[in-house]
Amino acid sequence: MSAILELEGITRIYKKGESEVHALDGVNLSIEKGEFTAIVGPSGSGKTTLLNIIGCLDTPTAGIVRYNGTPLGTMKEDERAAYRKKHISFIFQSYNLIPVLTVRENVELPLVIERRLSKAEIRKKAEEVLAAVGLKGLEDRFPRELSGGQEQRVAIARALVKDPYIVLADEPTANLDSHMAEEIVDLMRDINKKLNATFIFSTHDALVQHQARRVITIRDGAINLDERRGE
Amino acid sequence: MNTHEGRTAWSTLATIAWRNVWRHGKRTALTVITMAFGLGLYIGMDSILKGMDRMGLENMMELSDSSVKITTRTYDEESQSLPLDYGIPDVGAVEALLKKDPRVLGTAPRLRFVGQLSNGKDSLPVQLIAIDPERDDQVFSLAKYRIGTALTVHGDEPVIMLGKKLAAELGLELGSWVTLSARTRYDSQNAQDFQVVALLDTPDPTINNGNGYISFSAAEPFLDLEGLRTELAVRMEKRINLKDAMKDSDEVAALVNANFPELSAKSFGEIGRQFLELSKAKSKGAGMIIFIMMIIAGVGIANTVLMSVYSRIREIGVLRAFGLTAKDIRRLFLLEGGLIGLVGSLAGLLFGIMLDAYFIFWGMPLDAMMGNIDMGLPVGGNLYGEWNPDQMVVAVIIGILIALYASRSPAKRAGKLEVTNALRFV
Repeated sequence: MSAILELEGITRIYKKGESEVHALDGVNLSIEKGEFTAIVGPSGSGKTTLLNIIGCLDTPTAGIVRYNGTPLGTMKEDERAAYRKKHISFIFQSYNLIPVLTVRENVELPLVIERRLSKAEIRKKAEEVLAAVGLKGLEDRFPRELSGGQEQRVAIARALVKDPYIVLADEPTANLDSHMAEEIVDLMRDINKKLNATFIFSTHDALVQHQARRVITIRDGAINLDERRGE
Repeated sequence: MNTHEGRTAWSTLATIAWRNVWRHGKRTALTVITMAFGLGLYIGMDSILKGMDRMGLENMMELSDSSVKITTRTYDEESQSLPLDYGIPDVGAVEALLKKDPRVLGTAPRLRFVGQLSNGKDSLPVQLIAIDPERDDQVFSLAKYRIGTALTVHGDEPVIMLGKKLAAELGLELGSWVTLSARTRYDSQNAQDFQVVALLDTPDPTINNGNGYISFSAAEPFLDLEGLRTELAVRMEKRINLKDAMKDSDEVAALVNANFPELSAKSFGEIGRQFLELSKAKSKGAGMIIFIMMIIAGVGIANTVLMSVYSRIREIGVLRAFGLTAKDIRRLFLLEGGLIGLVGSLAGLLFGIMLDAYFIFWGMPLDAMMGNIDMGLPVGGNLYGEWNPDQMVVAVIIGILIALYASRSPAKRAGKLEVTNALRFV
């Protein structure tokens, strides 16, 4: 299998007043299409920074990020926004749905921003994905009318609707109870298998880690352990 | 990207903006109300000021100065002191020229002088006008506002027509006698008793408060006039549009000036210039008040949009993460501000139209509002407004532009937010 994502010597240094914080320190990583990868590590170890750099939300101080062999380092902000729009999706810890949009409109949003499909195609795609995450019948509800688990399902549907290269999830189960967390990870895993979508997610949760096919442990900004597991 | 797809994105952004505008309904409503009040007031005030202009000029034309006022140039220069001198040398020749113009409906000679009216106890200085009652009625509309009998009915009897308020100040009623004293043409003092046969209650407070009218037949012996006529008033065909009426009067005045270089013919537009300038100054004053109100509304909009930005930092992060650029985010918040401006402006337009309708159909009772205060303007009675659709469009556009301008800074701030910081924001 070919790597969909390659990171070479990624370093990210933040300046805090006079001092410097090394959030990432020479990370090398290669992710293949369809992988279901967990990034684990204690708070402040650099998990979110790594996801932000993979997601083109942040730029490394040093090192190269390649998507399908294309280096992203020289891209300007607007080009990176265009890249995110086409190829990357996000699932957030606090779901971050747009409160004034309905479930359907939230899911349609990435496609609307992408401006590739017609209105009817967008509607059809959104309905398919909502059915896939088990939210059929809730399309016209607003986020405030949903449970936490349902909100995260909407967030997953929103992330999957545009067939991204990679779905990045930052602590996707942190705000859910263990039962709901398991359900959500099962759903992500199911979609990962069915659609061969690539998932990279950060987590503290041992149960969630257990479901991952690959677990990357990060500590003090460097990869400490990279385990691959069978089915 | 084709147009259809572009519209899809914009319609979703517009949906987000519109729903967010009403997410904090009270805050938005307060801003909209301030804006609507300011704009509505501006539209209403503009209507009443326009009405005031029309009324002032119409009153000049109908009641005090006519469409074109002709005097000699020397009289015009000395007109402040109302001299009994510098009469028009050949009134007949001027009238003959004017008769050739079909727009001229009539002419009437007049003579103004200063006198003192006394009821035996109190006396007041007044401006008196000697008129040819029959011809004067063909040029001026004073008869419409006359209480009592016309001067013509009384032939050569010493009778006088007075402004109603002036008469009231001297305690005079119809049938009362009043002593008029004045300097004659040859500078000797003369006094004579006149009977009040008519009172004038016109929309022009200057006439009501300080004018008296006697016929030339009474004025001739009283002032030793010997046929002196210092003023010739011209009535022109009525035009619906004030601008057309002004143009007609300007043309006739120019015709007289060209044919009689020793005369000074002034159109009502020229006579009313000072009044219009005063009116413009009032307009500017009103405009300033409204401008201040709009600035307050602008600050309100800026505050509403800024609070919206702060309460939606994570949402901004999400939108950026899904591919919206900083420019798109700026546009989103500009759109929100613009929508508040649009709603405020439309509400202001509605309020303005309601105010206009009230002023146009019911009018503003100036006398009741101002009491005895004389503004020095030829307007009084019930003042009616005028529709001014151009100004309404301008007001709505200004409202939206102010809203967009006010939203610029918060929108810029929203666009500048770092995506990673925005997503971390709690």
